[in-house]
Amino acid sequence: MMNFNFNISELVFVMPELFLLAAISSILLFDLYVKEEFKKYTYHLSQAALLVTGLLAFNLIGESATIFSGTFVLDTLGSTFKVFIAGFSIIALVYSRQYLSVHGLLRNEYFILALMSILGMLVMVSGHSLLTLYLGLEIMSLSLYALIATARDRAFAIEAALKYFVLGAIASGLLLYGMSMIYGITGNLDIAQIASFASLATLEPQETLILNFGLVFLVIGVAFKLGAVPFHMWVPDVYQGSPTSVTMFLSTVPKLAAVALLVRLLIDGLSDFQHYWADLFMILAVLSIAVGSLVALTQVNIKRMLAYSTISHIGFVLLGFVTGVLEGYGSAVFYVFAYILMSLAAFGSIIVLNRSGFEADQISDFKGLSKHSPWFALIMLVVMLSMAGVPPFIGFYSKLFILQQVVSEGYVILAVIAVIFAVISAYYYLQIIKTMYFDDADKEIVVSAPFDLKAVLSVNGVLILVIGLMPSYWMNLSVSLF
Amino acid sequence: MDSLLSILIWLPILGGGSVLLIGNDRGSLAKWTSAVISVLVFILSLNLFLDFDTSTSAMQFVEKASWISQFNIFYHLGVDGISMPLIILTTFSTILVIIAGWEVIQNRIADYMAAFLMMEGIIIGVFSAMDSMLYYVFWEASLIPMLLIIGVWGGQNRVYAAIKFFLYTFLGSVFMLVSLIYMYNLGGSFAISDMHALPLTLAQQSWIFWAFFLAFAVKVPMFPVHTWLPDAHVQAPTGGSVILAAIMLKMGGYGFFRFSLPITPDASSYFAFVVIVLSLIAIVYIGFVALVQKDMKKLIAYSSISHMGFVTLGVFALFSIMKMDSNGELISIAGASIESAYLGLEGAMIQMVSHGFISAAMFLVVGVLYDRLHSREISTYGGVVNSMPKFTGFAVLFAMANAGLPGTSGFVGEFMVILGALQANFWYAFLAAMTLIVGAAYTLWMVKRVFWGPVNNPEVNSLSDINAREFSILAILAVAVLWMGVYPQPVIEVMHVSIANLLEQALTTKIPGIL
Amino acid sequence: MLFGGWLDNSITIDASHQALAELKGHFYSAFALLTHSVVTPPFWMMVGGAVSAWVFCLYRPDWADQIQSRFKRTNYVLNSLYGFDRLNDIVFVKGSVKLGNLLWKISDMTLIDKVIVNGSAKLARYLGVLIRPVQTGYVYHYAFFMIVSLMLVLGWVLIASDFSFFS
Repeated sequence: MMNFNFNISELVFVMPELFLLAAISSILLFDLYVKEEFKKYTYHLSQAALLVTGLLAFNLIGESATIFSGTFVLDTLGSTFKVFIAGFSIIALVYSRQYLSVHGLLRNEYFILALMSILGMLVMVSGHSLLTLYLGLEIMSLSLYALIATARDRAFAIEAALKYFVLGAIASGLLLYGMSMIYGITGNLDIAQIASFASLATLEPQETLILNFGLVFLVIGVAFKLGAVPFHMWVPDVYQGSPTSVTMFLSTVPKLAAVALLVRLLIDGLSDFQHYWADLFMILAVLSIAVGSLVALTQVNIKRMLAYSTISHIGFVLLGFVTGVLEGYGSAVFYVFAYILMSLAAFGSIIVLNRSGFEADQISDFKGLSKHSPWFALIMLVVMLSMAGVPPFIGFYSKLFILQQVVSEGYVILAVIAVIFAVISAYYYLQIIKTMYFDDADKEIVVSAPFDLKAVLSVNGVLILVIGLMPSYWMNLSVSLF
Repeated sequence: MDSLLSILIWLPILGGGSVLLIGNDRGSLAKWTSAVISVLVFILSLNLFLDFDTSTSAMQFVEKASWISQFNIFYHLGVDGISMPLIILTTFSTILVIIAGWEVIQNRIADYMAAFLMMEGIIIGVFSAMDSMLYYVFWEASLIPMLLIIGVWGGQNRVYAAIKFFLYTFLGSVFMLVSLIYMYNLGGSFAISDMHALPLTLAQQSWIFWAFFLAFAVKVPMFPVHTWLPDAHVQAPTGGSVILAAIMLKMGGYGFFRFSLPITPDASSYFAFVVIVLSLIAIVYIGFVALVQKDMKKLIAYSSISHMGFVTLGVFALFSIMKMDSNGELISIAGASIESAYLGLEGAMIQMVSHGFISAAMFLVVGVLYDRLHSREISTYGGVVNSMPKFTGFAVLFAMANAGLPGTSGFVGEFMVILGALQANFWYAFLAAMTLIVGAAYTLWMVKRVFWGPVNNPEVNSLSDINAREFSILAILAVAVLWMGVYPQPVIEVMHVSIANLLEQALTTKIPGIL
Repeated sequence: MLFGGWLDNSITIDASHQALAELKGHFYSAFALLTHSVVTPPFWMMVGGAVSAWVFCLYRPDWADQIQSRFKRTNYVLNSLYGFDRLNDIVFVKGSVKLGNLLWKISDMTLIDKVIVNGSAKLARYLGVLIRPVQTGYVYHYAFFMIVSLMLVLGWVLIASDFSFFS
């Protein structure tokens, strides 16, 4: 069995996680013991903690090590993902605070829970054993369930939290079941050992079959977290029911962690079974793109619409993994980055419309926005066009990258299906633009945005255009991770 | 100037951005800024014409910089005799549009001007991109300002028209994207010139041809994918209609010249008959449809489709006129003269430029009436000549040009295409020439009902004749229409060598093995 | 080069149809043509026309009225120019308008626009409406859906493996 040996010098490689854990604990204590008037600084401390975590992770880029007896891996992919997780979370928390404060939901547990789930993601990103991965996943998920339920006087939020919890538990159970099958066959929890076992040429048919079964369960666990059809049922309900700030958090950063889970389990671990899981992903991807695009057409709630739009974006991400080549994986990661950037800006624009006693979550709440506040309308316009895949915004290049990889691996039909549904989905993005630009306001619009939110949202929107004009660096970065 | 094309692209786009910043509250400043920028861009674009070397088919004013390195995508610009006239047409039309919107647009004036300026830059980008991905980016981006122009400043049914316009063209172009990516994976380059040289089997060419065809046919538009055009034109504000008809339709025609013929020559030849039939349907069928329109803008929109049919006819008639023999010499088929192939292609180009002038003029004419009585219905008017004699003079001139009267630009292009088509097949020419009858019928009938005859509507009597601003726009266009009609030589000279090169490319087989 | 002189050769004579050369053979002299004209029908028709004009307008104008009343039908046909104007009005003008309306309303607006263009948009929306009720909102439905999907995938893996593990 495994031989656990521990070397104090290895701690250097887990600095981001260690720091974040320490920060969470101290912020928790801080919040518990300081006077009421200082409690507002919990938010700032959380942001600072995230910033430092991100910097620490950034510092580790280029290092590579497998530590703690092979249960924890540090590589460029992991460190880069951690930097992005921290960075995107900072943006998300800026937007969240505004939403929470206008709706009287601003409690400091919110930030601590968010930090906790981010810690889970960091562990997941670096997990190199089935156990570490599962541990990270559960830290993340449990914090997220609680995060949704922080709006405890909203029935919809509680419903969403419960749904997410129950279904998430089933998915975790399935994932665990798959892990146990793989452990049973390979006798190992270590991803590297599993990989070397799976690459043996002398696998018995029975062994292959059970590995395959385990693989199916793993794929389902990952697909659930990503929200791919047919394991997407929780997505619209949870997105709609959760407070918008949580929806935003849920739809962005955890997707990156889920992609990391996918990479660790399936690419690092079972890449010899690539043609098996690629086939599964192909079905999931096509279904996701189709269902996401078609059902979103009929939505009037913008959070629900964005939920379906997420599902269809996830379909594109999976297409990148179908290709089975490193550039393909890189394209998927680039797509996730682009998607998160767009999704953050979209939810940021929704949050801007919220005010005390008014929950903006209908598409019609955007009516006449372009006259009232042209700048936010323009940002939303950019986001929607980008999501629809119209150049010169980042969403186009992420689709281009995926399609290029898909076509280069010979799946021209897949590319054609994807672009047809991209056109269909353009319709509902256009609906938002139409509502903002072509319709007149039928009720009062109040845009409430403190300076920090305004600044971050503007930068976020401009990035969608600027990275779109110069995507080269980011594409290179994404491919270099593999 | 080394970076003339970049300036032509980015000056209007950034200028549009600054006009946005000026804001709707300072409308007059926004208007003057836009006018200055558009005139400046036009003057700069004239340099393209003046410094143009007519003796070579190579790309000129070339700029190249690395853009997206992992896909070998370059920021690569250049013009030849085919794209240069279209760029000047673009800069020319933008000035007209900005002046035409001067007093008419009251609502969000700065946004309006900014949209047209950005549109100008983007379309110049389409015509000068030498890298297919750069081309595609500009091509798709051009939808955005037009979507907003139709949707924000359009008529009653603008939402439907704007979204239909966007989705129609978007659907058409995504297949082009897939085929561009496909060719990139074969040849490892997105450069258009590399795609020209890429050997492709007939099956590959056929798929690529149809993907391109869908994109370009929607834009041109050709029967049966033309139905977005009447809606878009009718709902768009006058300026939007002008840009749509004068320039955006040309993007489709340009696509056939730049992509379809040189990249898929064998498939183009193989399917030429289908395209010719569709063009003839457009010319005749749409002509009859135009005849019964009660809305002036719709009538002109349909007549646009009919006239653009000549472009595709002129392009694809080529394959019934010439072929390449086994020694690589161009020879004619069945006694047709080599010149008639040039006639078809150059006629198509002239027709694009001329249609740019005439359709712009026709839409402006309708715009002048619409600004006064807020009606596009033919039946609202009648006897306009009594109160607006100067205006009627211009209107009748443009109507004659639309009907293809010799001496106007409308005649030259159509006549050249018909002459070319005659060499290909008598019936092509016969059906195409039908338009001279039907076209005259619908145009003159409209003129008769709107400008002449009894005054049905008392308001018509109180119409004021065109002011200096309107007069100057229409006068400039009248000069352009007549100049192209009498002396098209400079335009033909500019494109001749490029056309010769294109002809060579279009008739050289790319099928490996036969090469 | 053709365009050195634009439309330079637009009037040329095909070598196989030398019409002018043919004419040249018949041309003798101006006087010969003059005398020859006296024996051709057009000359005598011209003379007939001049005489009848003189008779009906100057010599006996009342004959014209008498002839008109006696040959009413002929007069009608001649007066309405053998009906060519009406043919033009009814067949060409009204026919074109009818054809135009037919093409516009039936082919353009109904077949292409309503059926194909808006029809496909409707189809997409209809499919969306069709799939949407799957989202019932009940957790047990969702869980059931997940498990059924899992079963399907496992079954697919079994089938794809050709049951080779039995052997």
